Amino acid sequence: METVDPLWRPSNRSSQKKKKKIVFHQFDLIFTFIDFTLVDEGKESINGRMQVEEEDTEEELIYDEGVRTELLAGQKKSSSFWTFSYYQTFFDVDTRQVLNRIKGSMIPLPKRNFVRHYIRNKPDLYGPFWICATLVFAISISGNLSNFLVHRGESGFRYTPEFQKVSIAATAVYAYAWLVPLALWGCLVWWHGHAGAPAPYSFLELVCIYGYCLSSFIPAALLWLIPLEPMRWVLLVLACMLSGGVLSVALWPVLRRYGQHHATVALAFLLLLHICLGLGCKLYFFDTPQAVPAPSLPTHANNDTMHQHNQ
Amino acid sequence: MAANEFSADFTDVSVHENVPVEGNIRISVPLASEDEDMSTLDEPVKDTIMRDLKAVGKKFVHVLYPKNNDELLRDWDLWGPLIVCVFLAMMLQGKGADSPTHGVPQFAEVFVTVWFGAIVVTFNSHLLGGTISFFQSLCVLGYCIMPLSVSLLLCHVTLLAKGSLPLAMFIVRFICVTLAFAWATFASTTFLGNSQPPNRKALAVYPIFLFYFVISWMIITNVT
Repeated sequence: METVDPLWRPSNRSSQKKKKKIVFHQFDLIFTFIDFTLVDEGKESINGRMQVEEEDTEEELIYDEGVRTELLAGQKKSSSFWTFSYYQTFFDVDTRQVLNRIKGSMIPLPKRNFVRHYIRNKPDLYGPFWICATLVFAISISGNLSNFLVHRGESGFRYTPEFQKVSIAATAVYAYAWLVPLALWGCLVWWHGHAGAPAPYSFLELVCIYGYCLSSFIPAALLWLIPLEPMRWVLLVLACMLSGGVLSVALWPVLRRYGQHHATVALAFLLLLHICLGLGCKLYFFDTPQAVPAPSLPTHANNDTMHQHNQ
Repeated sequence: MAANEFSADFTDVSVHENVPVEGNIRISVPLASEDEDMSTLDEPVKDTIMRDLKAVGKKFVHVLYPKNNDELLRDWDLWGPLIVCVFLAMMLQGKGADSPTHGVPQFAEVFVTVWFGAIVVTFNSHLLGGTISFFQSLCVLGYCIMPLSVSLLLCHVTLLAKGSLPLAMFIVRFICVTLAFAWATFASTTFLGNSQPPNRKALAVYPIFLFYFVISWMIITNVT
């Protein structure tokens, strides 16, 4: 007589046949998914993810059927890394989805994990790339204009477009938005590799989080044009809080698994990097308006200034 | 070997048994294509250049009056974009690191910005599922920069009037460049707009908008 196994096992009764079992890795009520591995002796194991659906009556969410019951995540159809159609799968988004994601990245709510709620296993590269590009140009152009407005009355000031700052801004923003997720993903893979499970977030999902979070800085960068120092600090704090909030809500459940202490340190470090980016952009590109005397004195620089006082 | 004309009337041919018939039929075909190639090789260089210039000029005219026709897409070429880009870069460039114009983009910076930007925008619309080929959309984007080059010329003209009414001149330049930017964006979306699926049109148009916006910014801040 076969002993009854306390573990649930969808196996065949015959002892000749090979046994299968399901090993659950993730079982967290905060998550909306369950990671598991289907172990079949004799065949290779299949990693999968079951998506747990939320009831959401406030707004209409966009998701497709293929995501809801994605048992065989490891067997998704994928073209080779070097073909064009491989990358086309990452641009498979509509206008409405992108706008939803941007909206979700600006409003941190404790229950809405950005990755689970908005990305839903369909990470895209459109958002991160073009949000970074917009941010680069927003910072450069806004900085250039605000410097012009601040230094306008000074003698000896000659307006230049400061085009070289665009490449500096581009390097900073793109390095932050792509290298930090890479490092974070590397760490997650390394830690999870010990447990033999896939990393909880894929690299593209991390890039999505970081890319969409930067969208909070774009209105801040445009509003930094106004040369009022207190307002600029308020805007910086607001942007950091909003984007840092979304980042924390998305990353905290993952980091928490490594112990409260480690998770706190890691999250604090990531938020510090985020604040450094915002602070660096503000300090480098936007000169502070000093308390200059009213620029009503007739100063005459050269003929080539953009705005010239009357002679 | 000279080809012979072969014609036959098969009405009164009958075969009593199943006799396998095999052979070759040679029909003379007019060798027009070879003649044409020979003739363009022999034509004077001036004719070749004028023909290409006329094609490029015709496309510029299409950009000036953007209607939804296919000619810009069908006979694409990259001469127009190259001319426009070189013109832009030459007019916008600064003179060197030590000169007073050290913040101005250099020739290479403008050139790379325009071409790299056009390539990235083209890749983007291709990846989103556009039906136009890579070079066709590169061609359209390059040709549609033409209104901005015209506005750059006008800006230079207003800058020649140095010292008088600087604010008014600045407003004139600003209006010029804004109009040219709107025209360029409108022209390129006319040509490229129908190639995208309708739920992604805004996703494809936004990078084009950003691209022309950056070029307009470079033009309007060019005050030397």
